[in-house]
Amino acid sequence: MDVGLIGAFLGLVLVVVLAGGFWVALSLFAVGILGIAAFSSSPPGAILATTSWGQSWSWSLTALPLFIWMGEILFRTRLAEDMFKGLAPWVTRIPGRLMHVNVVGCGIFAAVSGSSAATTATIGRITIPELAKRGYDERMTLGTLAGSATLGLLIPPSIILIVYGVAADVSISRLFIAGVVPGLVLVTLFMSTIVVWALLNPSKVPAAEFSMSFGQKIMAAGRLIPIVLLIVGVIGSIYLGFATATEAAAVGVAGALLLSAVTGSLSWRTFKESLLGATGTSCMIAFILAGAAFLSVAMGFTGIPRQLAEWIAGLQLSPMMLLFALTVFFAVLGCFLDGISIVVLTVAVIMPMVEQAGIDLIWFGIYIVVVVEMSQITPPIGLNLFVIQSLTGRDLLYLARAALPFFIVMVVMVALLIVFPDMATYLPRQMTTG
Amino acid sequence: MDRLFAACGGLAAFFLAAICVLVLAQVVGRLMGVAIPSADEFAGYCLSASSFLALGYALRKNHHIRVTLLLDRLPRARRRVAEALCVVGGLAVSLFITVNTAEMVYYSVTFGDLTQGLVPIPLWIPQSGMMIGVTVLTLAFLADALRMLRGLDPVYLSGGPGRDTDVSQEV
Amino acid sequence: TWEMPTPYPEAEFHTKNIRLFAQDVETATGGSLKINVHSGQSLFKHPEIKRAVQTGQVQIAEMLMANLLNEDAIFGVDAVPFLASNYDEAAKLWKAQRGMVEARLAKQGMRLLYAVPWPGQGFYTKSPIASLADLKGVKFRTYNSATASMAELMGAVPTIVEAVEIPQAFSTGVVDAMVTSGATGLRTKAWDFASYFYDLNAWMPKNMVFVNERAWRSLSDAEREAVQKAAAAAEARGWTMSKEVSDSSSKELAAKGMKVESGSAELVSGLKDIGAKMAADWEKSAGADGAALLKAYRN
Ligand code: NA
Ligand code: NA
Repeated sequence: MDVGLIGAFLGLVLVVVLAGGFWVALSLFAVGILGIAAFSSSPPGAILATTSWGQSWSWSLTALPLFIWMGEILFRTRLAEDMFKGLAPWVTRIPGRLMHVNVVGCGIFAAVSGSSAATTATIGRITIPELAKRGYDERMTLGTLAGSATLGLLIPPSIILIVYGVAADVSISRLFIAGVVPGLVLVTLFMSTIVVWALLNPSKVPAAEFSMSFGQKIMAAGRLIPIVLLIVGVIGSIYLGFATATEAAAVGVAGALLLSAVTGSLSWRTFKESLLGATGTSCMIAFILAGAAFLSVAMGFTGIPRQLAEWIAGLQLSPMMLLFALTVFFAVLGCFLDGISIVVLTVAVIMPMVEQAGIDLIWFGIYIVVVVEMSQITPPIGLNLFVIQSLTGRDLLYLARAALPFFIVMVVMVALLIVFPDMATYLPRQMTTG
Repeated sequence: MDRLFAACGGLAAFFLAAICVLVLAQVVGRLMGVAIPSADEFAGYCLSASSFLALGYALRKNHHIRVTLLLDRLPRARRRVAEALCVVGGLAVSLFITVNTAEMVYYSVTFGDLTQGLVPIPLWIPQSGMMIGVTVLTLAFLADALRMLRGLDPVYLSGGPGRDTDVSQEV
Repeated sequence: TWEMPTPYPEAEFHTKNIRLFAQDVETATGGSLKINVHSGQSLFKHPEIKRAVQTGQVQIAEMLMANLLNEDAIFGVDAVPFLASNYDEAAKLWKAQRGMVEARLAKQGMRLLYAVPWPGQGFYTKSPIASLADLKGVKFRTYNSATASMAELMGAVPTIVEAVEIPQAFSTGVVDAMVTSGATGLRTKAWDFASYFYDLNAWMPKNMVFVNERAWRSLSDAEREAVQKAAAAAEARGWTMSKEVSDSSSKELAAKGMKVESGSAELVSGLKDIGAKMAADWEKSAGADGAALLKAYRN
């Protein structure tokens, strides 16, 4: 049987099972089992156990539940509300008003966290209830959040850039530097999208609650002090050499506990609730990641991704056409696999093509991260959508539609990266020895 | 039965807190010039234990994500059939995972495999968190299957996402 | 068709060698045995690779032999510092070790095909090291029990940092020094974060390629012979590649602006003392076989 057909068949089975209301993680496991059992001669059960186990204790994932716990602490104490009230006066004059808190909050938090799921969970916990209370359009709120939380991947530190750096043999520090400017450009694009949307739909944006003098704004910004201390503490612990990017998550939890204790909003009850909430959410994400890891290994056994990549290589495309083909390829793959699986699974086969086409590997890392960001918000497997679903109970397809404008923004971002490659390559070029 | 799921959830929460303590110990230890042997490896094992032990608890609290767009549009009788299929499917897949995890742990014991880090411990010890967790998930599905046989709704339907927090009420 | 997971990325010379090995096998068997190489832990993570072969999830794989030293010290003799510090010594050590490794793998239902050493391990540091005294209090990145006790004996502070976090850990001062091969330093672009490379050839750990015994038995005689031939060729080729990489990587590191040195006599003699202590410790942990191995090696 042709691998293309096998791939299409497995994809179809996955969609049907998911649409039938079967749990996402279990669907990934089920399709993986089917793939290995039907299209290879290897034992699916033993492979399932080994891969799930191997995935479940990976060190770089330890940061994920910790960041989620930090978000839960912030949400259950007054810190989150304070952050919201501190940021709000500064964006209230921009069309779209408080909607921008989503983007700015995600952008700031992305500098602390390496994953988009943790960014979604933390900022979403803060902004979703606050924006709803004020009568902001729910769909746009959730779409903005889903889109801008993907910044967690592009703005350093970033788990996926580390994974790419290792797989493709590219300097991780250079990759981190390379992500800064594209990350800021993407923040600008997201904010512009909100502005345009707000100008087109003035009825969906509530009126400004207050107008403040500059002095009052500064006073309000005082509420930001605790959260700024926390973020400075976490980023500082990385850049002053106390902690690695992964360990910074634990520093964040300790800081959040300390701050909420100091401000008097920490009780045994909030501590327990935050911990149990984080346990449930990170269990859900970890189970999906285990399923995704198994599915991606199952795909490796069937040989589908390799043969598809070889097929693309066989087309002998020009660099421009190659990038176009790869974008489509990654977008389709991104519907069904999570970002890290995509990178691990395909980099070995795709890198030679990319190198041969004379494409800069640092640039390609940033490109692949933006493309992978897109996969976080496409159904049926989109991690950001899952996190928002668990926060709000809203259905996946509703969320996917809400996030669609931001998917398009990221396509625009890919185009911009191709037209202005210096966005990603200028800063790393300035790095010298030492 | 409910106590079993709650206890495993509590244990999972304990391991999540343990990750934080271990990582902080490593950071503080390094500042003081002391290396905590295998701290990163043990943090990983705590992560594994935390993720898997919470599975049953998370199912009953309806933390696990699914797409209910189509299910929500079904009339009540058909919805029950669909939920029954889901529960049976969930039972089958989780049983498959449990059996194979048991086999993996069994091999770890009989091969006498050790962890590969600085502090060698028998591999089956960290793996048993996964073993217990997936077993409890299977039991959770079994309990729901039995409820459905008695004409009741599965437990996960009554614990909505965010329903133990106040987010969903505000949205 | 055999599936073959490997831990290292495509660009590593070990992986390139394995690709050639797979090609040789396919050609020699006229395509009746095909080996699909899955590099860079894309199929199984490094710690799970042995189990995957042992239980027949895959038929063949590569892994770092010394990772099994918790299980049996014999696997880890090539990780004892300053025991074998050039290719001739490494070859002699492997000759003494090989039969014991084969026997241990055979007991677990696996068969060794070949092993290829990494270029010798050296120190990467931010500031110059003239003698052991300069290592006092230095935050030294270690990755297993052997490197940790070496760091302790040197008076350095053993520090654990995951491989992927090394560049950032160096540039932010989480670590000041590490030990790895010239090849790995080159691949991870060590000049981005460290200034000195001491090419000490401290030890030369090996990667081994091994198969599941049942998968082996299910081959025809002709296929087995083809695999064995290709393995012997891969072993010879791998050792040559390793030497070439060792020579060229020092030069390339220097070309990238790193100060490459072979270490002062004082430093080397201090390190050799530490090596002797560690070899004695290793011998104790490895029992009678360990003593026999060292005796065979030192003859
Ligand atoms: Na980030
Ligand atoms: Na997706």
